Amino acid sequence: MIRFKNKESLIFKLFTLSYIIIYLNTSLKLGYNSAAEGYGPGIFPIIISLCFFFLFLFSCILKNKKKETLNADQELKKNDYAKFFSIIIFPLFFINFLGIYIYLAIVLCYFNFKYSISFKVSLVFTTIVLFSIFFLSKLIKLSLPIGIF
Amino acid sequence: MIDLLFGNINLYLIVIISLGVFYGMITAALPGITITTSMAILLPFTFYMDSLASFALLLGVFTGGMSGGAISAILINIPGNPAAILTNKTGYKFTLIGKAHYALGLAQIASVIGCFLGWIILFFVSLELSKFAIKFGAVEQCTLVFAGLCLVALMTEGSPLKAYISLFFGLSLSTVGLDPISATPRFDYGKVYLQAGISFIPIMIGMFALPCILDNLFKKQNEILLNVSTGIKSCLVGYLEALKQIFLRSKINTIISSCIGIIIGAIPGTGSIIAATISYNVAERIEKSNNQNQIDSQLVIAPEASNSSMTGGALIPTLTLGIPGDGITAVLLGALMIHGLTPGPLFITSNAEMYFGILGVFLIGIIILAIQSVLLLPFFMQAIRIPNRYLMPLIFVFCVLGTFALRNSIMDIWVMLIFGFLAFFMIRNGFPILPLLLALILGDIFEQQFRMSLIISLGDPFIFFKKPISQAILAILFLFLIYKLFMKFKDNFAKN
Repeated sequence: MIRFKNKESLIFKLFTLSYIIIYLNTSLKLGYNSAAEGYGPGIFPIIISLCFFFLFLFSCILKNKKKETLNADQELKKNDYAKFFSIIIFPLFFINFLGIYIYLAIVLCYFNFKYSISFKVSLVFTTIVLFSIFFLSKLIKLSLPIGIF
Repeated sequence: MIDLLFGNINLYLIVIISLGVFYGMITAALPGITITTSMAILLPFTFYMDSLASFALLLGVFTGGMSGGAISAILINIPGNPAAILTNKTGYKFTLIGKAHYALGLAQIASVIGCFLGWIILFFVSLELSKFAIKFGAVEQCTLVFAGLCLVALMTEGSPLKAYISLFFGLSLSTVGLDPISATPRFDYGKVYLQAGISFIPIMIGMFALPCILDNLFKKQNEILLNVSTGIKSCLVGYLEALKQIFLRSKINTIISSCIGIIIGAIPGTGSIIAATISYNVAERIEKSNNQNQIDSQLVIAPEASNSSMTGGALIPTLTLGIPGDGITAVLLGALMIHGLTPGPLFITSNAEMYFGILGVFLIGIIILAIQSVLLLPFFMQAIRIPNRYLMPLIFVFCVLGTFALRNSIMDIWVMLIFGFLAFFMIRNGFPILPLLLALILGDIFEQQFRMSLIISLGDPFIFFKKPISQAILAILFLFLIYKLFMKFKDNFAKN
């Protein structure tokens, strides 16, 4: 359990560090002006990336002194992750082919996995039709602010 | 003055505020959905309204949400929002002895009074502050934003170091796109989407809503069982009893708790939990009665009055200085920015009509809250039975469609999802998300004023220590830092 937490926090740290390195590297390539002209567009990102880096370094050093543990109920199952990513994230790559409604139908089916297929289908259909009528229809968007009253 | 306050109010706005209060109360009453989440979901839909109507809707949600959290806290022993944790502590005791309606009455009446006192203070203080804020130039504004962001990171619950890391991450994201002074493209990596900068709305929706959905998805939930009468008659009887209690025996407690809420709310980064905790502790110390019922009544009134009066307090720095105190006011600030209004010290002077309109809709919102909390309470009591497994899919669909409806862009959905997951892991690893979001919203103004200050001073970085107002702001920040360090040492000393 604790090992999982360590792995997760290690991934998190690596992600942060790589982000800082890329950010600092890109900000160093930005243009600079003279002091009288306010140093140019690179000054602010450089200050941020340096502060960010030192704070991160400081947090890594401090972290070693304290050992953080994770409660059993906080632990995520790999199965849940895999299901979630394959159903929510993977279809997004094909959204142009699937369309937003099919994508939402898949997501809704996943969220309502506890119900029977007929109930699931009717629930998904009703939700999507209602959402479409109330929130995506141009009519309601235009009529709400001035038209009704 | 009345013309200014209510000049823009029409039937349409009243309906919008009513819907906002209703939505705020119902979502706050449902365990697992915070006010910030419910407001973030609504944010894209306000895009299609005019600026005052969108603010009226969100302000209604804010007002309703602060009082709605008490319903589930009292009835089912689960606080609807974090601010209701202390109401839950004593409020549920009343349900166990069959006096749930009385406790609900206490909480709702205290909320309405707290909101009203918050409004009065907001009305008088913000006008005076705005007169002073006219003196703010680029240097002062830059120092103010810097101090506000630092205070938020410093006062946020958890490790301040992690809060600062989150803050700088937010600031780094705000630099993506065109530089605010010379319009030089930065960090866009040749992508058209990034050239306009990262929009904070999909990020806000993702970061506030997705962790809540994921949390509920991965956790096993128990069904909510409720054995309290939901008839209007029993609610009214409880209300009358509560009304007598507040006006005969708890006047001072209500006023003190409201004042605590207003003061705490005006300090960026503190939030409603701190306000509720302080007022709860103060009420516990002040109450000298031996009657347990009287003590418990005071302990329901105190946190509810303070977390509701906080709405007025939190709006003071948001409207007068452009510094949002918490996630809720950050969403409100986002709504202002969507409609092209620039928050900051000059907001009130340059948008006086809008400002008075906001005060007007806030007051109407309080009146509607008072009416709805009496008449619709039976309905809210029924609504909290809805299990989260029905609500979370709907929230997710709201998030996706709301994000997509903003610019009809699939990239926005990607941004919403990526930052939602990031927020989920940030929260798990102890990194608060509020500093990141505030830095993202205020980063642009911060950089603009920072660069302007450097240009004005011909590149002198010590300009921020030379102006009297900026010196005073930095001194206040320094005092807070000392206070926080002192409290930490005191805690460590007590532990050892």
